Amino acid sequence: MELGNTLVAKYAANGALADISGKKSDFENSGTWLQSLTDSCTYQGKLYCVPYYAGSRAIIYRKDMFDAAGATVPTSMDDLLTAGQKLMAKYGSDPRFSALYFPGKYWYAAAPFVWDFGGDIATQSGSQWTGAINSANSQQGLTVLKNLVTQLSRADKTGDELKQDQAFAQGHIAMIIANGWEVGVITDPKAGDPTLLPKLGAFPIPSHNAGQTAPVFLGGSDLGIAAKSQHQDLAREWIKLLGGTKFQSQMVTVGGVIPNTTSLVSLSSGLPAIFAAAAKNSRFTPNSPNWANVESANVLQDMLVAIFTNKASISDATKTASDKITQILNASS
Amino acid sequence: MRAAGSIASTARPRSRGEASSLRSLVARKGLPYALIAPATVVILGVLGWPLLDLLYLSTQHYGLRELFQHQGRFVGLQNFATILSDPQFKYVVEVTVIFTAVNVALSMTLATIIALLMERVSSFVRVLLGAGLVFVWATPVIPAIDLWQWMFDYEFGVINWLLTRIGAGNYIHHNWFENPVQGFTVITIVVVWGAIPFLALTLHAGLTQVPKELVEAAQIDGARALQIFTNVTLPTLKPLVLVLLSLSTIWDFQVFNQVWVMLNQRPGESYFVMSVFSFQESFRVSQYGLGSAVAVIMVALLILLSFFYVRQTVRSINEAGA
Repeated sequence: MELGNTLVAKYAANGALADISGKKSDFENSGTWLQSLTDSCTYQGKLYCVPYYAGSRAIIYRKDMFDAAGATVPTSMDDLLTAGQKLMAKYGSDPRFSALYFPGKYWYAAAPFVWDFGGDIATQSGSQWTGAINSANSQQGLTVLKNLVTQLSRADKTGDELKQDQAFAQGHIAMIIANGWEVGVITDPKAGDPTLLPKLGAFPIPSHNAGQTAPVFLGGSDLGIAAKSQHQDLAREWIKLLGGTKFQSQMVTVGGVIPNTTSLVSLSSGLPAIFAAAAKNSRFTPNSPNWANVESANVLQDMLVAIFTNKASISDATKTASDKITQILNASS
Repeated sequence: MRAAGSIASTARPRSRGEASSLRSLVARKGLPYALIAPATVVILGVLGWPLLDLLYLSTQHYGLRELFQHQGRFVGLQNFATILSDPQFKYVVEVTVIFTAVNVALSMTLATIIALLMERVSSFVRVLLGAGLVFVWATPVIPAIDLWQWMFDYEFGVINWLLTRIGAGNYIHHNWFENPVQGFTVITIVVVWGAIPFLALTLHAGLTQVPKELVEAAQIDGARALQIFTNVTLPTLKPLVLVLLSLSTIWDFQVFNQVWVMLNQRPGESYFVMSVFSFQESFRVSQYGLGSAVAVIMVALLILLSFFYVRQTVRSINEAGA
């Protein structure tokens, strides 16, 4: 079965997946699997699934708008703000224009800012988790982000990122933080604007340290076998095929996603290559069986909404979220 | 009949007349029960079994692990204690009660007005109105909610555009769901819109039963329209209104789709009505035992609420019939 990588721990801990630790060497490229994906498949030292593919985020931008506003591709967060301000100066009179379109609930795009300043969602010592989203570093990252959003974004502060590609295709947005495959949605002939394709470029989310990139969340899928499956051998064969060199290469060249092994990353070209490069500096969500419950309870999304809509100060919102995260992660299921 | 009579007379030393009337008495009394027996069995099976299962599940600790092992852990009334002592639950009940009250009041009032209107207009307009109501009623729920969602959309919604155009203020990029009061107002519009057709058409049918002679007599006596309504129409409609009120209450108490779909399946905590809260506990957090406990409490509350309606309905039917 294909599982979202943030959900694997929940199912592995509850006995749903077969333990394939002993068979790891059977799988092609297992020596060069992407580290984050492999981590997502490992629970209590045992391997429960095989990495399938990954996606990472970078900033998709309108080259023509940048040229017209005199902005250059930023290499630091300060540069990003400057470029955005130039865009707002040029196009801001349009009430629908956003230099950087950032929907309030877009947690995966906010995470790089938290991680870049050394913050994190939660830390683990022994078997105890402690929410860390209210640490000084995390708060600093969120403060920088809030400044960017207030100045550069007119997106719905309580909305999510599901319609951002369609919105981008309407032509009133200069930058969005997006996955590589979203280029396809933006230029889709039916729901998007195919004429935008030559005008699109991408660059990794810059770090606050000039010249570096911010760590991004490595989303992706893993392939697992149901513990109760009566055809474990067949299932393993299937996973071997999907995770092997032949199909992984196709997924890179045709599908534009990031493969499960670093040895094939070089196959991607054009815009997808930028996303693949960004994936080299990637982080993952707390690998706890209860992490899925944090996602379901919308803790981080609600926190961001409270911050962006000024319903709570950053310190209050992060403290509330951190306490909830601690409670949920440490709950016995 | 003849054969029955002779069997009876050979079996017992009774007069033939008495025995056959006993048999036909039993047949008369027993026949209704025999006729509804199949339907009752099916209803008990289809509705009763899941209800019993729900009650059983609410006494269990049933998370993901238990799901995969097909075995829950009995915890007695622990789930109920957890739910009832949760401050969030108090908020959920409050929100649900207020939401239900507002929706029922609005639906019934508007439906009554429309039903009265349908009585008075020309038959051509009546047919148009009726057709319009039926179209609304026939629209499948999810696409309908989707349409309303697009109308109130932050980025592309036509309501925002329209309100700005007619000068009601600057509604460009107005988010209707940022403030729960505004959000619930939108959800109420959608719920009431969907509820009116059934209520209006049923009330319209009920209005045709109001005796015309009484209305004319009242008019001759000089009664104004409102007095006629309160003293003649409403009392005649009372059983029907009570039934509709109880149905309305039960349905609006259970509203789930409108809240869930309009908020993109991720409603904020301030939007948790009871059904959403139960769903969230069961399927999002995977605590099926807790979710079931919430559902059981919901059923209990609804039984309590509708008890009074049903008693009133039965009373007024008995008054009218006897």
